[in-house]
Amino acid sequence: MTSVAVKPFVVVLSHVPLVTDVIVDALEEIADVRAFTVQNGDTVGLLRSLRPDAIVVDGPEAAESAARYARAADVPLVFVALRERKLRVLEGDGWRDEVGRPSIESLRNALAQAIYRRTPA
Amino acid sequence: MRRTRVLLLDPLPLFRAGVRGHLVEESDFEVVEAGSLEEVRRLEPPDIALVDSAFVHAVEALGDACVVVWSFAPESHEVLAAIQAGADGYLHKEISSHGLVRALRALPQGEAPLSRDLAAAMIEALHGQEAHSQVQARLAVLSAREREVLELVALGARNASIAESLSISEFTVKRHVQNILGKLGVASRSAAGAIYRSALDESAVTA
Repeated sequence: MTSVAVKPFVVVLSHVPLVTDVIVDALEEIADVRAFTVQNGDTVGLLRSLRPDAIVVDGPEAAESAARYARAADVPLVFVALRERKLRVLEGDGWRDEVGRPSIESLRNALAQAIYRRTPA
Repeated sequence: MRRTRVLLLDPLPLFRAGVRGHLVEESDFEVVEAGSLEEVRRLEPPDIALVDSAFVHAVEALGDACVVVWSFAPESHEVLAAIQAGADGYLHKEISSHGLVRALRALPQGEAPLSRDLAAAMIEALHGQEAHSQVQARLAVLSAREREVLELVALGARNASIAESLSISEFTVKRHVQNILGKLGVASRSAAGAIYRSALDESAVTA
């Protein structure tokens, strides 16, 4: 009998429609991805109901809300900080900036590292 | 049918990829990308350039292309600076794909893409520039010494302290202050100080 690897479930909270698709496409190889447009909604409530394995956001407001959930639930969170042109990974109480500007590859790598670093062997 | 060549000039590869993904779905657009001005120089001239606000200084170098500058959370002075630099319009980067396509198709017909809030922000910035010019004109009638005195008045210094700082008599300071109030057309030291501070604030904004 062979076991089937289950892809992690990643929620993308996007407020920049022009990049939503490219973020989803970048992650689909490594994750089961669902994207949601966020404006001023209840981000934490949405995440509580979805219970993702990891979260990706592209806006500062959603990043702060998602960080509250991610810390409480111990879930990886990657922030594509488009204004600052940085890729940020939540670590403890703060954000760690990845080297270089956000690209499809750097986003995929950052998320994969954030997920698998936590997954028990 | 000749397709409209759209240049994406943006330092962020992820953003360029996102925009390209939407525009290539439209049969009337051909998309080229650049992350720097050096890359732009190696490309065929575009019909339309979508330029990140970090490259606003390059607007003139884009020749005959219709130039639209865009950014996240644009500030009023950025919008005004882009238009003054020769941009044909300004957009929010949070625009929808449909909105972007519509704006780009309207450009050749002379429709400048500028949302209502950005137009209002630009008018506000224009008014700010006008007010700044008026303040500068009022301050221009002061002598160099009067400006020095006014600077100290704006900091809240008393006549005795100003006299000591500038090594002049208190009587002379009093005379300078009266001249300053007369030239600026204000009745109090605090009003004169406020004019001086507003000139400084405006300089910081427009710098």
